[in-house]
Parts: sequence; C-alpha cells; structure tokens
Amino acid sequence: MAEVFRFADHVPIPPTTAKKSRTSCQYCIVGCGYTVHVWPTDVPEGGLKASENALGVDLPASALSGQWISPGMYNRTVFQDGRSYNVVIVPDKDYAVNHGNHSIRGGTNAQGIWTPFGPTADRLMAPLLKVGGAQQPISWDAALTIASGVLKHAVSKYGPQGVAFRMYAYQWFENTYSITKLYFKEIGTPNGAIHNRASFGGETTALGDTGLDTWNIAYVDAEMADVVFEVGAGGYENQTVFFTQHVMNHGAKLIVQDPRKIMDAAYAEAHGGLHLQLKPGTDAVLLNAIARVIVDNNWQDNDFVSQFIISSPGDITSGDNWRQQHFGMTFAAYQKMLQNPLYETANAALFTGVPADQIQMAAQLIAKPKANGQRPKTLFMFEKGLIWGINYQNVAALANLALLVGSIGQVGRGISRSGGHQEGFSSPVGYPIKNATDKGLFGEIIPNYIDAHMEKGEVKVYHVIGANPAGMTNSSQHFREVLAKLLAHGPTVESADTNAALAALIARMDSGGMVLIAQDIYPNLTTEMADLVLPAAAWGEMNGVRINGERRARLYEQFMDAPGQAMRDWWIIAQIAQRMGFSGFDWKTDEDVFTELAPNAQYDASGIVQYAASVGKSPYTVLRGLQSGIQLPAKFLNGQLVGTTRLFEDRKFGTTSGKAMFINSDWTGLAAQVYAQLQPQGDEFWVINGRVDELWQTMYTHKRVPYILERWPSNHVEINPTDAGRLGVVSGDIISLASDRVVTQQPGTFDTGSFTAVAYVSDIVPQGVVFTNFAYPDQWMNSISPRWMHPANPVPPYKLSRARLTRIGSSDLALRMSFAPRNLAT
Amino acid sequence: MEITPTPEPPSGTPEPTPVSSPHMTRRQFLTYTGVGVGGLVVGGAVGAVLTRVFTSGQTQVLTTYPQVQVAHLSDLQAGKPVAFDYPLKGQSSYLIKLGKPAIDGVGPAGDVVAFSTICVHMGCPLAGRYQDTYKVLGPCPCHLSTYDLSLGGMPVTGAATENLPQIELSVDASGNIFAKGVWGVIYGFENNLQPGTAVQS
Repeated sequence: MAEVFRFADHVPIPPTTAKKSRTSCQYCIVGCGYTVHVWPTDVPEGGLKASENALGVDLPASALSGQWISPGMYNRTVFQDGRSYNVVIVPDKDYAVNHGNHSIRGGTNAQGIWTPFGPTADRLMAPLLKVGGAQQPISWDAALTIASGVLKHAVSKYGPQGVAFRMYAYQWFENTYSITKLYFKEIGTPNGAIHNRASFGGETTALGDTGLDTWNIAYVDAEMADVVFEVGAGGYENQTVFFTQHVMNHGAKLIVQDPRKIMDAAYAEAHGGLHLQLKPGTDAVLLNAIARVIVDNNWQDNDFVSQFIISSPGDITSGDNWRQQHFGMTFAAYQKMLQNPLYETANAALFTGVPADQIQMAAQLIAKPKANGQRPKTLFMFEKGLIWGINYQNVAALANLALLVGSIGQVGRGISRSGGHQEGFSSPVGYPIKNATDKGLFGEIIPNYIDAHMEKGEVKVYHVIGANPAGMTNSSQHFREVLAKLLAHGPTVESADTNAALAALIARMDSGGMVLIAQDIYPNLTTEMADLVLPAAAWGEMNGVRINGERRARLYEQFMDAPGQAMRDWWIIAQIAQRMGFSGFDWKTDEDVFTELAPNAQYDASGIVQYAASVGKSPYTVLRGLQSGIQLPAKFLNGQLVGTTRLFEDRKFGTTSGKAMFINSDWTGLAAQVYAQLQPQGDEFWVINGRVDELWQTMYTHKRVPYILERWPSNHVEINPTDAGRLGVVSGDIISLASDRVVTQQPGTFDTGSFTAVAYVSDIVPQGVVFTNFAYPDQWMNSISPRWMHPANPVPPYKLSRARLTRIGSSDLALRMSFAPRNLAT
Repeated sequence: MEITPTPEPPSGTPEPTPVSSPHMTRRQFLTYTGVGVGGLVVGGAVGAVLTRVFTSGQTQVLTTYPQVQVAHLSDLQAGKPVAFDYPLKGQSSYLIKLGKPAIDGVGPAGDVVAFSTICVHMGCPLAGRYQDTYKVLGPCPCHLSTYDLSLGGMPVTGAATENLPQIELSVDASGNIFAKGVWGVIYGFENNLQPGTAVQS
C-alpha cells in the first residue's frame, strides 16, 4: 500500500505570554479573520484551562466553537533574531465574516509560512542574477542598480511603450500603489497587465457600463435572500466560507448555472433548488432566455425599470464611454433584443442544453411576484465561469437580468462577482489609455494586449511582480517560445560584475532582445527564466490593507520576519523609482504608504485617515481597533468613521444621468462568430477549467504543503465515464491533452499546445466536456487556452479551450489519490 | 481503479435539520447529533457514540496509548461499521471492514481500519455516514466534508485541516482486534490522551 502523510498526534498550546496578532486569510476573496499566536519554542506551552492559555478558552474545544487548534494550524519557524518560534494560526471566532469557520486553505495558513524546517524553505531569499545561464545571489545594491539601469535605458530610448509589467491586483494596497505609481504615473506605460491576463482590460466592464459596480453586496445578503443565483462561481470550492457560512442552511433556494454537477449543484438539487447544466459557453443565451420568460410574463420590476433605467436614447449616448454609446439600451430596446427567436424557451433549450421547464422555473423563482405582490429577493453571484467565456456579452446578460428584477442595493438583493483572490488594487492615476495603441471593436483605443507587443519586439524590459505568465498567460506554450526567443536574442550576461551585467543587458535590448525581471516569493517557471530575480516579503511578513468580496477592509498585521533578504514589494519598487530619478517614493513604513494611497484605494479609504487624524491616532491604529474591519468606501461624517454595507442603496448609478442602462447582450455578430470558431470538432473535447477547493492559485504555497499536495500530486482531468470507457481510460491513468487548433487573433491561424493530467473519471462532467485545474504549475492548462482577446474589453475566453485526449499510460497515482466523487451533498 | 460514477445522495441519510439563525448554535449542533446512530456497538470499549466528554473529572491521566480490544475479526461484516471509543470515553470511532485493501489496514485482506467519527473541520458527527460504495465517511452534515477511509482518512472534499484521525490497529493470532494508537489529533483535543476518562483496557 501507499504511504500517507501524517501530522503529529499533539499540538502545542499557546501560553498566555504568546504574542497575539490579528489578520485575515492569505488566500481567497472571502477574507476570513484569523488570530496568530507566536512564542519561542523554548517557552513552555500553555495549559488546558482558559486562564492558562492564550486563547482564553477551556480545552478541549467544543464542536463549532472555532477554537480548536488542529495540527494543520501549527508550524515552527525561525526569525531574524535566530530564535525558533512556534506559530499557531486559528480562525477568528469573533470576526463577522467567518465566526470561527474556515476552508481547507485558510485552516492550513500556518503550513504555508516560511520555515527552514519544511518544504517552504526554498523561498527566494536573495536577489539573483542570471550569469552564464545560471542564477547567482547578488547584493540588493547591485540588483537595484541593474533593475533601474535597464528600465531607465528602455524608457529614455524607447519611450513608455518600451517597458511592460504584470502585477498582482491583491497583495495589499500598499504594494500595488507603489507599483502603479512607478509604472502608470511616472513612466506611463500602456503595457500593464494583471496577474491573470495579459492586459488591464476589466473583467466586469459590461457591469460597469450598466452603471453598476463590481462588488456591490454584503455577505449577509445571502442569508436574507429568497434565491441565490450562482453563475459560474462554484461557491463551495471557490468562496468556501461564503457558501458554508452564509448560503448553506439559511433557507435561500439555490440556482446553480454551471456545465458541471459541482457540489453547489448537488446541494441545490437536494434543497429544492435548480442546477442549470448548460453547454460550455452558452451562458449569455441562457440568461437572455430567462429574461425573455420574465418579460413575456410581465414579471419584471416595473417600478424599478421606470424609475431607475434610462428611458431616453439621448441619455445613453450623452457620456463619453464608447461602449455605452454602442451597446447601451433602454428597456424598450432590450425587450426588442429579447425577441430574437434564439431566446424562445424551446430554441434556447436546444442551444444551451438546459431543459425548457428549468428555464421557465428559474425565471419564476427569481422574478415571479408572490400572491401578495411581493417580489422574490434574488442575489446574483457570478465569477470566472461567466467572465472567462465571451466576456462582454456574458456579463452584460447577467447584469441585465439583475436590473430587470431590480436586484440592486437592497437587503437580500444584488449582483456581485463572487471573486477569486481578495482585492487590493490601488493606483494614483487611471490606466494611461492615451499611450495605448490597441484598437477595439469600432476602432476605439483599448488597453494593450502586452504579449502581442512583446512578440512584435516593442518591449525591452518586462517586469513581472507576483505572477507567473510563462505558465499562466493565454496560449502559454506559444508565449514561452516568444519569451525564450526574446531572452536569447543578443548578448547574455556572462559576468557577475554589476556594470558588465548592466551593459550586456542594455546591449541585448538594443539588438532587439528583451530583459526579464521577476519579483516573487518562491521560484517558479517565470523566475527561472528571468535575468534578474527580486525576493519579496509574503503574507504575515509586512503590514497591509486590502478588502474581501463585500469590500471589507482590515489591517493584516505582520507577525513574522521576512526570511533572508526578502523585502516588501513597495520598498523594492520605491528603490528602483528613486534610482531612476523619480521623487515621492521616500516612504519609511507600510503605514506611510497607506496614508498616501487611502483616497486611491480600489474603494475610497480616505475616511480612515481623516478619522484617525481627528482622534489623534494613526490610520493603522484605527484599523487595528476595528473588530471586523470596515466596508469601503469609508467616510468621515460628523466626527464618525462610517463604512458602506452595500452599494447603490441610494439608487444613484454610475452614468452621466445617474440612471442605469441595459447593455446589448445579444448572441449575434461577434459573440456568435467567435463561439463558433472556438467549438470542438471531431474527436476534440471542450476543455473547461477552474479551481479546486484545496489548491490556491499556482500553488506557490500548496506545492510545499505535504498535506495538501498529497490530495493533488498532479493536475487532474475529470472525464465522463462514457468518454473514459470509449478512450479506454480509468482513474489514475495519465492523459495528454493536446491541440494544434488553439484559436488566435487571426481567424484560421492556430497555435499548438499540450499538457498532461491524471484522469479522474466522474459524471460530474457531461460527455464531450472535460475539466482541469486552471493553474496547476508546470502542467499548465493555459498551454491550450485561446490567444484571443475580446475587442470590447481585452480578456480571453480561458474557459473555452479544446483538445484531443490521449491515454499515455497508467500510474501509481491510482493508489495514492482519492477518486471518490467530489459532489456528495446532503 | 474502477470507474466511479457519481451517485445519487445516499439513501437513508437523514436531511440535516434546517438552521434558521445565521450561525449554528450549540442546540442546533445537538440536533445534528441526533442523526444516524448507525454503528453496531461491541467489545469492551463501549461508549456513548455521539456524546463528547468535555468536562474534567477524569479518573486516570493517560500518558501512552492503551491497548484495547475493540472487536474480533468474526464480528465484522464488510461495509458494516462497529462503533467504539478510543482512547478516551467520548472519542467516538468506527471500526470498518472496507472490503478493499487500505492504508494501514489490518486483517487477512488488509482491509480493516478504524477512524474517529468526529469531523476534523469543526467537530460535527460523522456517525451513520459511511458510504460503502466509495469507502468514504461523509458528507458531514455541517459543511459537507467527506473522507476516504482507504487512503488514511484523506479528505475527498471539505475543509478539514488534517486527515480524519486513524486508529492504529493490530490483530492477534486468534483474530482479536486491538486499538493501540492514533494517527492525527482528534477534534477538540491538542493531545489525544487528555483530558478525559480512559476507556477500559
């Protein structure tokens, strides 16, 4: 038999002298609260009585108390003082989001911290320079001289278009502000990209165009809703505690729109809800068909529509937003759009694969007024299943549905992204669209697709911060070839001497090549390809502020030292900026950065700074004193600090007129054409992707947590039993997923790509569709994802990939992995 | 590995009691504990299957794991759990003959295993939730965690932060099955051996 990872059979109890910090989880959007207890390992542990331990509770912990320290919540590390410390990270029973509940990710936060005693020991701990093809440690002074030197040369000789950067959008406002201040405000490059896509195109642009925002609701709304309509979000695996704490067991009927019979779908069916199991990519058609049933029955919220939706076409074109001008609709125009025969229930059922009676039932649940005239309270939650299809039409279709039933800005009603990572974006200026050169649908300028500009040789320095585009950009097998070619073009660094290295890299740029700088916490495919690697501080190693999916901001307290010479990202950027001659980067502390950025946080946080000044405290002190943080925007009103539970309670929407508008979500023209091009043919399968509960992003921590890695020692591919039988595949076999028909921007021109995965045979997926992890490192599914960006707002249809499946052979994973069904609900 | 199609929800598993308040209360937890007392109780180590002992007042402080007979091989039918407590009263566990070789399984076929029946996510009861089709224990009525008993209690789904604690077993020449240790930490405890009342050895 195989072996299995076993934790020890006891956990040390934090003594009363342990240092206590409060923070939120390092992982998903829900942002559960955690309490951290740290004490030297040579100090005796605490006792079982409340008076004898740092938790202040009598042990053993009782069920559902949220006060049990499991072995996964404990770790041991070493600080810069050379002493060894115990670290215990437990869910916060008093935090409004989770009340002691946790996911498998957050519950094992402690396993993901740096320690010299375990697999996280391989953190990046010194700046590295690639010399003679291998990376060597250098000093910070040398690294910063080289980084600022190449950037300065690129900008002065090639202009702002000569540099590109890709940044995380979440690792605290303090860091993102420093990055955008350098790249957008000072350099003004249009070649910016977010960690998950090769542009600064918005993921919810269509929702913004209706006049709504992205993060509109409060989690408590799910508890008060009559219906929770979840579209491509997979709450149980993706926003676990939102689902288990705020959706489950609160009485709302759950409607799940997803091509897979995920846990949420099984739970919905077991509790009087619906699973709309649609064919991949047909979301907009299904949502339009539901809207058609609503208007055909006159179930729409006529009060809302007449009062708060633009009725005059002139008001739609009055702003300067070109998408609103082209796609904005009055209710009358939207009704007309819905008359497309495709949205008749029978036709839509054929197109989407969802039975006609379920389309009717969904419309009835979300919109049909009760006998007393009361409208059902519906909460719409959506995520990448919608976003990463034909983005603009998909998001518009759902936003329209929410407007149609007046579901915004009220208790138990609203529309929001469900989210992936937490949100921590901040910028002193907007995206510098005036410097962009990409053309959109009607010739308007849209944010640059940076990979394409690299391929054309326009980019001389590419700075990647907390992302892994070598694996994760769309059509990444093609991009790796581009990257390798650019990095090998012209001189390479053959001397560790700082001046010689800088000269070689400048010579490479001037001969048509590119320099890659990677700033990260662990080695990955991109850092390994980089000329220069800058080691950064991680969660728990600095103070920072960010928000969860209900805009709840809090202070994430530092509770341990960054290892080796790893430094805060804002500090690294500030050093580069100052060496390039830019001023305004002379912050001394995390809090200095926060104080400056507060008005420019993703949602306005300036009320925190103003309130702090009024009571003679520092902003972090104020944040530290808030039991459950504060929902942004935060205002300073009448001497008080006031948060915002949900957006649009005042019904003033983000358009010139203040009224909302429908956005054309019709499945004609571009949407229909691209969808046709993406379709699998012959023996190809749809390859859809997503997260699994246990694995965070590219697994930068989880690859190093034996307990988690054991569950997923390989990327996996879910295959329907009938398809598996036809291919001669059983669970545990290794499968190749390969395509020589990866769609590109040029119709009829294809990339090739492939990756491997272990077969997980299950009817969670229908025939003809397989599912795989979106970010399993080195078995990158994005090797086959389309190199196509939506021309209304540039994001790719990652979910709509295709491949042929070939069995490579059997493996010992058959004995080590569990292949039991992952949708056993009760 | 066999092809394992997704099943209908297990028949005979009671629906959890609906929870109306935002957060589960102690009382509501206790209503969950009323479901699914599914195990046959045999042997010398009989305890209340679903009652945790949280109070002090132990009569004996354990420092090492006792060896306790929990059943005889002839008591076991494949797929039928036998309930017992170990090492303390209230630390409820299942002894199960899976009918399939398992990690650290004992008996002639290596398919006899024992696990805690207290979910290591938040302490809800898993008793009555063994699904022989998949050799899994779960889903937990509170947050749907499910554990693979053939693979050391590895979570199939859910939020547990360790594998379901597995009871170390041995079998003597006459077929008597003994519990002799625990891998992992039983929910609620920081040390499986205290505080509490040891089961009789």
